[in-house]
Amino acid sequence: MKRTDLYICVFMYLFCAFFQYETGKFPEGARHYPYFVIGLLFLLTTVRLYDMVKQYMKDRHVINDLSETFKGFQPKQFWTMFAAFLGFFVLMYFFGFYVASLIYILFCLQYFKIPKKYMALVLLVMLVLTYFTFSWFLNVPLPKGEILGEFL
Amino acid sequence: MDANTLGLMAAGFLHVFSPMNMGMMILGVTIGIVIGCMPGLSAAMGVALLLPLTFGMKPETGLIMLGAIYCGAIFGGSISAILIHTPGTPASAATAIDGYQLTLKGKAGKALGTACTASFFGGLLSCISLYFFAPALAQLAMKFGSPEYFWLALFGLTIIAGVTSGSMVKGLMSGAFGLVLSTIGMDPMEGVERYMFGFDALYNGINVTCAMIGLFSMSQVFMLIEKAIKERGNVIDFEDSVILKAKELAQIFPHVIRSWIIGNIIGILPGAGASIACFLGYDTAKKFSKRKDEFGKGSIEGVAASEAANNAVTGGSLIPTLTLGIPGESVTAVLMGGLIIQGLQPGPELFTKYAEMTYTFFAGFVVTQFFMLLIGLGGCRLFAHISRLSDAILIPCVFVLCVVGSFAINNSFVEVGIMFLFGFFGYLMRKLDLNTAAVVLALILGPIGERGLRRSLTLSGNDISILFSTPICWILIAMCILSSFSPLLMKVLKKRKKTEGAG
Repeated sequence: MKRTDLYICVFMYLFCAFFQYETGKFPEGARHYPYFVIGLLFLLTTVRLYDMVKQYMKDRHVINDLSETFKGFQPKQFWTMFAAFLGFFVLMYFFGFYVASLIYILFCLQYFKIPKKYMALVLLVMLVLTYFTFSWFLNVPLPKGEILGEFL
Repeated sequence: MDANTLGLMAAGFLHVFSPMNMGMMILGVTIGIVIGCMPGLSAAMGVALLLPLTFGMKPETGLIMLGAIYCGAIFGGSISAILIHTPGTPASAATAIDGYQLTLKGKAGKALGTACTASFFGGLLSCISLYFFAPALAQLAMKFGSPEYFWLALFGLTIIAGVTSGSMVKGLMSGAFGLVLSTIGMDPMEGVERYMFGFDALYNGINVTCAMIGLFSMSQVFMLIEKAIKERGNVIDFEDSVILKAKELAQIFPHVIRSWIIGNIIGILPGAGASIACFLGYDTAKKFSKRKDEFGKGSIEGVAASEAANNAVTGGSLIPTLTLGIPGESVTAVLMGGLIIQGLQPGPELFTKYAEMTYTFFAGFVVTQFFMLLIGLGGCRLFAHISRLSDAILIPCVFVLCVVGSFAINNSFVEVGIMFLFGFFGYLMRKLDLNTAAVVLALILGPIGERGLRRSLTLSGNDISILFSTPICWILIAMCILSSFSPLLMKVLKKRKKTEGAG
């Protein structure tokens, strides 16, 4: 029995319970189909759990496969980049898409120690590409930002 | 084939040569090859990422571009497989075996030329089955009513969930998880808000394009940031010609034909994909070759067989996608999303009401193969250098494209949030061996299945026997059961074979 599979089962049961609870608030006619699909997920999760328990009864051992699953995981790099993603969203909300992209791409390339000449090239290509594709060709009004939008 | 179909085919070829369609084909093939040759990116990811680009285009032009990206990406994977021994996509894993050996012998040009030529023939021949089988299957789909559509949706889910995942139950669980998510939004019959939690943006349910960008593209960004950034191997400069001689063409020809048949059948079978086809093509070529000893040491036959097989999947996998709405693999699931975005539903209507558009797309698929050959042969030296692009550069670029792509769908921040959430979920799912393609498929097929089931029950006054009322229903039920248990059957057969072998 793998530990990660156990986590999956727990998550799926919680997911089913939450949706089951929410479905209870619907009128009678609207409940049937959601109950059907939640029941299907519940059933399949139970089948998986049964398989796992059967395996456990056989070898009485829970395999801690988390280290194997996340082998080579770089926590510092991962969470820095994750924070950078969130930072990008905040910047985009206040200062618009282009300013956020500029700062975000510069930060990432600096973090990964990309040579300066390539940094300039990547920035130029990305900003020109997004401008011509989305703003010019598709006419998508990309966010100008709450603060910067006031002046534009 | 009747005169009407022949007329539509001819009209398709007339329409496809418009400057816009041609431009998008060239652009699509080039982008596809670039995406395919970079080991950090996949074909499904590329098509999902560039899906928003097609919003402003005519449906046929958008589809032609997506098809061109698809074909280009499948071929592009062979460039890095041959030159740096790292397949750009899983579909080129078998190409790396002999392709890299040829590179080490100083015959990289020959290997790339073989890969490109075989990809061209594989892709081109796969169009034949697309022209012949797709309309026939669409005719059959015309007989489908609501109960059949319910079973068809279930069949699509069982087959992809059962075949592509390591564990059958985990694959099916992924599909069921997606089905629950597909119920978010307005109830189609009762007009009740379901699990919207005050977000009006969820009125029409979870946007499938957002989910696809998240599950395929954003999740790949998470996969890239968790690992230490490595330098890619150096590209070996090559001097030999990429053009094959007549003798070499004759040598690879039988393998190309065999691989085309294999790739096509694999493509038509929902759930299987190019990564399986390339190994099957390679193994079959090894069995039939007169130069068996060259395999693994640098055989152009091995490269040709693998590449013809994986490109033959492209046309084949479009058949169940366009006619029944069951994508053959994850890339065609994304392509189907593109179709739905344009307001078109896969099925018989594509061959009746929208036949002109469909046949223009088919013609575009044929012409794309020629562009792939020209761009592939002419630009492989340049693409070889692009394939070395560091993941450190890919990470911010792909992330920015994910954000702008998901925002462009409805000009809404909520969609960006959904994309990011699905990206993180997709990452965890991939780490935990769950099936992201099954979730996407469930999001697409869920509403079709729900409509089919609820309409059937309404028509019959809640009598469930309507779901078992026609022979087609029973065939589909049998197919659902068979596909659900096929991995289990295969396991038992393999075990028995092993035991017999040991005995």
